[in-house]
Amino acid sequence: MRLSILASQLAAFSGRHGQNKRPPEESRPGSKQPKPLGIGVSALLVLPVAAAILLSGSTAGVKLILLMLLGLLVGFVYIVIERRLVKYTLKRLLGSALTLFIIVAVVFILLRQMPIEGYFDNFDKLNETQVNVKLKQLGLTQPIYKQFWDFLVKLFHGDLGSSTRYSAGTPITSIIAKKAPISIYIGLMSMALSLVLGIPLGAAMARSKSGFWDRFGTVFIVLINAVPAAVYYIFIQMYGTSWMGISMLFDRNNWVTWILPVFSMSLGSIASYAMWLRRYMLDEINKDYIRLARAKGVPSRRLMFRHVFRNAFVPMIQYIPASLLYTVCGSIYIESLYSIPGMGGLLVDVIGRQDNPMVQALVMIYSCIGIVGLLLGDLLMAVIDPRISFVKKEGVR
Amino acid sequence: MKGPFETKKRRLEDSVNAAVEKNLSREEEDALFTPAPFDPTAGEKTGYSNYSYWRSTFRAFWHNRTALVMLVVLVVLVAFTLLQPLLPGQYEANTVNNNPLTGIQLQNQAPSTTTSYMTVPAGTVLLGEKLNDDWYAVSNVASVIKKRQKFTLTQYGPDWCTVEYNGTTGYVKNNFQTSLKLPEDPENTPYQSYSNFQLQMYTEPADMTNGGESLYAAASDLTPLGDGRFETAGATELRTMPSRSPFLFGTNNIGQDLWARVWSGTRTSLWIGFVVAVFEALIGIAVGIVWGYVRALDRLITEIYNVIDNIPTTIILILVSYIMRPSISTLIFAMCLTRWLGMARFIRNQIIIIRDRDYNLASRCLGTEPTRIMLRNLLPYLVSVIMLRMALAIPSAIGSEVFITYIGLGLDVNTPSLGNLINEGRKLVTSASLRYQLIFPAIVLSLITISFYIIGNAFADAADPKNHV
Repeated sequence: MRLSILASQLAAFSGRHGQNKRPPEESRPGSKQPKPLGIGVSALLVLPVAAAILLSGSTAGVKLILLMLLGLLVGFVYIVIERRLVKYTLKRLLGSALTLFIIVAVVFILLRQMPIEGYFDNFDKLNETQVNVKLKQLGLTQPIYKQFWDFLVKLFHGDLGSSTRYSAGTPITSIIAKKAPISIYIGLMSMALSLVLGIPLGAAMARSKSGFWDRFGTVFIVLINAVPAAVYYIFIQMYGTSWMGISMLFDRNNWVTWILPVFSMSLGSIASYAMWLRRYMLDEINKDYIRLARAKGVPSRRLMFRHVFRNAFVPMIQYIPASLLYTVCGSIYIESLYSIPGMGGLLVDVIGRQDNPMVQALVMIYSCIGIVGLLLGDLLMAVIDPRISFVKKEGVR
Repeated sequence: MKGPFETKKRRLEDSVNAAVEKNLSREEEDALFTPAPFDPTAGEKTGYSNYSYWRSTFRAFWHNRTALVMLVVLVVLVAFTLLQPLLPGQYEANTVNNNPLTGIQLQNQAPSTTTSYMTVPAGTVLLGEKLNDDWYAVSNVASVIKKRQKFTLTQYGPDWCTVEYNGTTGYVKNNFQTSLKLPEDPENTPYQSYSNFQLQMYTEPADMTNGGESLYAAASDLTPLGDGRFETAGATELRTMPSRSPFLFGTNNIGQDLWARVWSGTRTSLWIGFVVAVFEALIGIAVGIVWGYVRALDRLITEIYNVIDNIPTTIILILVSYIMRPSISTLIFAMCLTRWLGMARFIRNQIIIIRDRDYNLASRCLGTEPTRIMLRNLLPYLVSVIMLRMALAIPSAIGSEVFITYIGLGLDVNTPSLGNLINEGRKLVTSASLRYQLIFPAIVLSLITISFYIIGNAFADAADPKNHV
């Protein structure tokens, strides 16, 4: 009886499945326990945030930045040594230094192409001698390579120079130290908000494929990605402030005025976290090991959090250091809309006034942030996901 | 936990058990398992399918209803944008519209769908002034009674009073609180009265003005009676301006027609987006193919890519816009400088994946020239993804244009673009009545960017062979 054989086999399969409890999770032989790394990673993520929170009451912005960097540095040195990534890291750092040099050189040369009228407030009223004296004062009469060499020499003495026109004579570091903290606070808050909202949204979207959350999230993502940020920022400010009955401008001491800037700034990252997490989770769900786990009878919730989510989150981690660092730059839109005295519009402002030392310093800082952020992201990936290796394999390309 | 898997398993079990319980005989069971007869023609069958990549792609695309709706919206929008200047009765985007009588700019006129202010019946006598061959400025204000003037009130009515002033008879609005100072017993006419404020004396008990200003009537509707008076020939529409075309989106703060500016701006922005997308595709494809296909160049181009990619895009955009004079070509140039990078890397990765597939190896062994392999074997594979990136490049180029304008480096207001319209509108958000100057450009902009985005994504989904059946 072929059918009865089939039936008995099925019964045996489901019976065994029902009776036996799942065997306890075996410890993988030969694999190193990843615990010490976990400490390093969490220190890396927690330290800067903790530092920011601890220092948020004080005005010591410089200390804050330094602490953030220190936290990142300590975490990474630990990880790099632990994972034997020293050679790779050094190579990347060297490459980054070269890149940085090229960027600074290009910007330096481009800046020297700006019209000289831009260096004066009242160019028409000055005669030639006065113009020449001022240009000489700014050091613009020398050939470009000489100017560049002087700049480099000063740079290696730890001197970023002083502003010439934005706030004449003030050291650039002190200008930045005054402006950066507020951008960092707002940036960190919006980053925290976007993680808190974006990741559950992405996970909910992946779990309820073509359900309510998926539809809602898709509409949200399309709106945020397609509509230029300026437009929805302006509308949030316009209707948000009148709905909440508050002033359109930011006031540092009134916490209510922090809500809208932080919220609008987080929208873009909420959308991108949700979008990428959904995509990675769906990729992960379709993999064979998840099918096996499901056949084995792992409860759906546990499956989602222990297996799918953890693996799907790995590729997203690489953007976190960069976005942490990028909070220093602020947002041009948000800060100009709400009149926040942060870093956002500073670069545009100093380019407009042709304050060359400021532009050079800022471009250098921003590029550094981008490069270091990328490097840290790559390292973090390698640390978290043991499958990723930066050692070249022969014959594979 | 009740997943779909459990349900399916249970259903299978149930059906098998049901069959077992029926206790079929061997013959019955054999009947269920009939072997297929031998068919020699089946061996001759060839696996022909009329599968066509593009047909399949379009079929998948037609099934996406949202994308189809957006496609219709986009086609209508773009067609309308291009045809708008050819439509009758359109204003010029940069013409400052003045009130023809006073010469004052028609500033911040609220949006309206008509210029018709009121309709008067045939035989109405109006005082008119010739504006041009087609239009007359008309009103029924016989004269203006200035502040603190004495006049005689000859007849009292609840809404209108008949007055005599300087020898002319006319009607004034009966407004107790403000304009007319009336005695205790106002119905006991005639008596002398004073005007508290300036009053208008109408020829009829009706106000045929726009808040005291003249209205406009077409010359063909008026029969001159001489002495500056006209009689309407039929039911006549009195208009707020000497034109039948209204300011559909209102006017801006110097009296330019926002409707014309929005469509002209859309043309500019679409043009920028389109040109940037084309250049992005051209440069990106050229670099990407060479980068992916020519092994010797891989290292070099990768290093160059790393350098350029590390410069923040904003900095390049800002610096280039500063050094060159703001114009459409500057914007296009500045955006093209960085945008091709993403496309090139994308193409390169794709090329590397398909470069060493067997058909390419075979092609190479047959002695095909590299250029032919690149253009004939590799490029067609990438058409769908290139189109996707081009579709997404347009909204993001428009977004960059808005950004550049926002920081004050964009096109000047004489070249309307969606960017500078939004930037102009942004300055007016504090007064609620002027917000339409932000809302209209923002709606058009959002419609365009959203539809490009959705269509691009839907097309990419449809073009992905994984989604073909």
